[in-house]
Amino acid sequence: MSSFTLSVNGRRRTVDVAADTPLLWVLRDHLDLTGTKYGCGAGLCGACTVHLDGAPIRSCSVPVSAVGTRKITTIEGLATEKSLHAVQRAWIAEDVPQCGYCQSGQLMAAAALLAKNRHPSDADIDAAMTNICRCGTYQRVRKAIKRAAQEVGT
Amino acid sequence: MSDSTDATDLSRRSFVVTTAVAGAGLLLGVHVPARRARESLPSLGSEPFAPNAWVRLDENGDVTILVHKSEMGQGVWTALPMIVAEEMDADWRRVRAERAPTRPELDTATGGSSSVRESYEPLRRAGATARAMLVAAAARRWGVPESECSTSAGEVIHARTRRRLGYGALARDAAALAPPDQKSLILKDPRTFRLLGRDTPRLDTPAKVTGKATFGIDVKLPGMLVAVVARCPTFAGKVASVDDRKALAVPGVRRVIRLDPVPQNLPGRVAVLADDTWSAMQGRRALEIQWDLGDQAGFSTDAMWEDARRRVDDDADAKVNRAQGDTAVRREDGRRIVEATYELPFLAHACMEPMNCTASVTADRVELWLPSQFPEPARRVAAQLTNIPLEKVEANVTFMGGGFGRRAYQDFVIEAVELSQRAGVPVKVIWTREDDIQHDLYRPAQLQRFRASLDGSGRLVTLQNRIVGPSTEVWWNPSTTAPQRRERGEPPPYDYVNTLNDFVPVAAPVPLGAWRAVQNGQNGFCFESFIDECADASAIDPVAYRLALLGDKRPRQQAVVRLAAERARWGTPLPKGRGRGIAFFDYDGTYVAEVAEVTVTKHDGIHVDRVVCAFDCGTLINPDTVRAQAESAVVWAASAALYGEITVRDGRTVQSNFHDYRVMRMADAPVVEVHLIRNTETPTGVGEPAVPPLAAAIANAIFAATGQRLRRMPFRLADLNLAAL
Repeated sequence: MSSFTLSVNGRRRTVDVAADTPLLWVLRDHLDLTGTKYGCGAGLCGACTVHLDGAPIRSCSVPVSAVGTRKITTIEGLATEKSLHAVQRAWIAEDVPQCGYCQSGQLMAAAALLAKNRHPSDADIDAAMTNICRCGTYQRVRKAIKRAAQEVGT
Repeated sequence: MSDSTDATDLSRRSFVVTTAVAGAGLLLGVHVPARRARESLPSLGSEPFAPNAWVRLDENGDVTILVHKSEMGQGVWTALPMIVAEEMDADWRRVRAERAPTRPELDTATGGSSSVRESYEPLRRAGATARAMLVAAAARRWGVPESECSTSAGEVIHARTRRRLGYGALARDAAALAPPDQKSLILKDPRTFRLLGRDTPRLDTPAKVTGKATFGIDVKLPGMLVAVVARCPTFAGKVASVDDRKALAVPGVRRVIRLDPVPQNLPGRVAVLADDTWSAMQGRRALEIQWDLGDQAGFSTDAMWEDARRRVDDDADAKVNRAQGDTAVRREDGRRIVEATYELPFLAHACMEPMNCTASVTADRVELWLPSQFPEPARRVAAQLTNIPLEKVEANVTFMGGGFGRRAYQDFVIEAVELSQRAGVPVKVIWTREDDIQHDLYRPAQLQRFRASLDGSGRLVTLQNRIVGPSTEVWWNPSTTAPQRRERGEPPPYDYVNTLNDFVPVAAPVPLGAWRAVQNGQNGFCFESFIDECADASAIDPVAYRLALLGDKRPRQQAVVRLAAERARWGTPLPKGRGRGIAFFDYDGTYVAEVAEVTVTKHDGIHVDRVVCAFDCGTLINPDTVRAQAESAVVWAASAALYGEITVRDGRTVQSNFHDYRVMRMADAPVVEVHLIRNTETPTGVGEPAVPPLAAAIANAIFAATGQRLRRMPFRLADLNLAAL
């Protein structure tokens, strides 16, 4: 067991875990941030997507020891105290979620995409949004990203 | 619910009752007749009349509507409260949903696209009863006849004297009144609905975009251990021996528990219980297990297919399910004979949330946290396993990351209960994705053969449909002699004269279960592909052919076929390599027609570009949810049509995760256009009906694009003659 001090959603958190523990399980089991989901454990589905310094990563495949001082943002930290993030508002407007299990990951991937590309094309969206949704909400995810892009862009 | 025992007792007295609960205003119990028994799913044994949903009106005007069905994405969390709120004339902005308790009297089973269909009338009555009592309370207070009062958005109004009272202010008075005679209850004319039929934002969306929605896998209890379980890779194998020393040396690991096989789909297992999930996973990796692979370790799906193909002509073994009229297919009187055979593989569910369950078993009580479609059978299983009386088993149903039939089963519940009991602490068992794919209850693989004789105008004179494959009923009950009910062909939803449906069983040790749309899924692909072949053999356009076979007696069915064709611009030319295909399905009175547009190229393979779906499910509750379910079903079914295949070798499932059990992602997903029919017919199901026709629409589109017909799922470019493309 080793001690790691992490920056999670703007707060310093210290955990005592095995160094190879994936960030996913640190967030879920040790920090009680269960909005980030386990889907495959192999970086294939994207349900566990969080941001490291703003970049989307699959937290099931990143050991806690590799995080260092990079800032972690999870779905719980996406909104500010004052308002939801533009993608969350767009998700509500398009009523995207069905079962909802993959949506934290979808939202984190979409927020990261819009942060670096304010007007993504369909091809940009296809390339960035590789998260699996078994409810098949893809069409609404795409619409919501475009809606959020418009809001952010104006 | 503060007191669900009360509600149970009340159910025995009358159809609907009220009771004043201190400080809670009006509490209303509703009774839904037990659903008809479902094929092959655990029987619920419900009483004929029992309460299963409640309206709670607080004195501040807040309305809580209890939802007795599992929310797994299909939208019941919103649709069921809408039905109550409509008849109650509640202010929708003040309505919140809450999970109803799991009680033996309640019909909490969620499956078969039945929630709205079976709850519509009783929930309307619940809402109307509440409204009538609130009107009565207001009329008394004002000293006016009830007939002069109206209601709107959470208020009773006396127009003549311009008085109005909010429901909250009337709650206490209303609770003291006797409920109205059910016979005198007047339900709204559906044409006057204000809420039903309007796009309504889902009540669960805000929690699902902020990470706050609690799924089964998110449950955490004080003192809880997390269990990850090593499973014998063969379906019915056992643990021969286990060395757990290295596992127990992993930091965080507390216990290792050996689990015996449990019929029907739990093989011998070794569970590792730890303080947290990762430690349990590491502990599982460190186990050294010798498996006894059992007598089916030589099984392979390749051999099963050889057997099935060989036995398709085995008339002696065929069990007749249905025979009507002269069932022989004869070449006479200028009749045309059409024959074709289709093959479908085993399919996994691959719900996004892997199977899991949390149980807390003490000496005299069990509490369960269940992402389950069938929580009542879960309670019963827990009671049986622990010998604790059923009334001491509490079940909390959570949100669930997909169900699709997989969560109708109790394997994950059995595991959690047994482990909590043996460890003496609360246990959350989590299946890894590999466990989930390799120890699923799969959609049955099958081969279907059709033979038809058509008259000169292409009409079906005789239709024979033989299904060859493993039987779900035999899987669940090997000694069964009951007629084959699950794997069964259905009479065509068209005009026909004679029909024969039979079944040839094939042995396979593969666990079988319900998969979104159940047997309708296989039937939809096979039958609607075959109808296209009949149209082609008769040289009639596939849309015109279906319209003719439907005939004038089926106007609603014809209407969806016409609507889908029209919106897809059926008959307009497409570039080379592209094609359109249509398919129709009657799903228990929900009528769906789908036109798929595909592009087939040597380089990029088969791509589904667009699907136009026309959908008639009677009265629309939340139209946006109906559209969402059709969009969902299209992606689900397209994923199976293009990629889905579980194979078995050496008695074990070959695929293990999303790298080799491919599912559809955004870049491959078609554009889906859903067109809803609006009418005031009785509402029918929406979660599954758009699944069955889609694979056929794609296969028919591939035929239109290439002139080649794919009769085996999943559809692969390699199965086409590439030279001819």
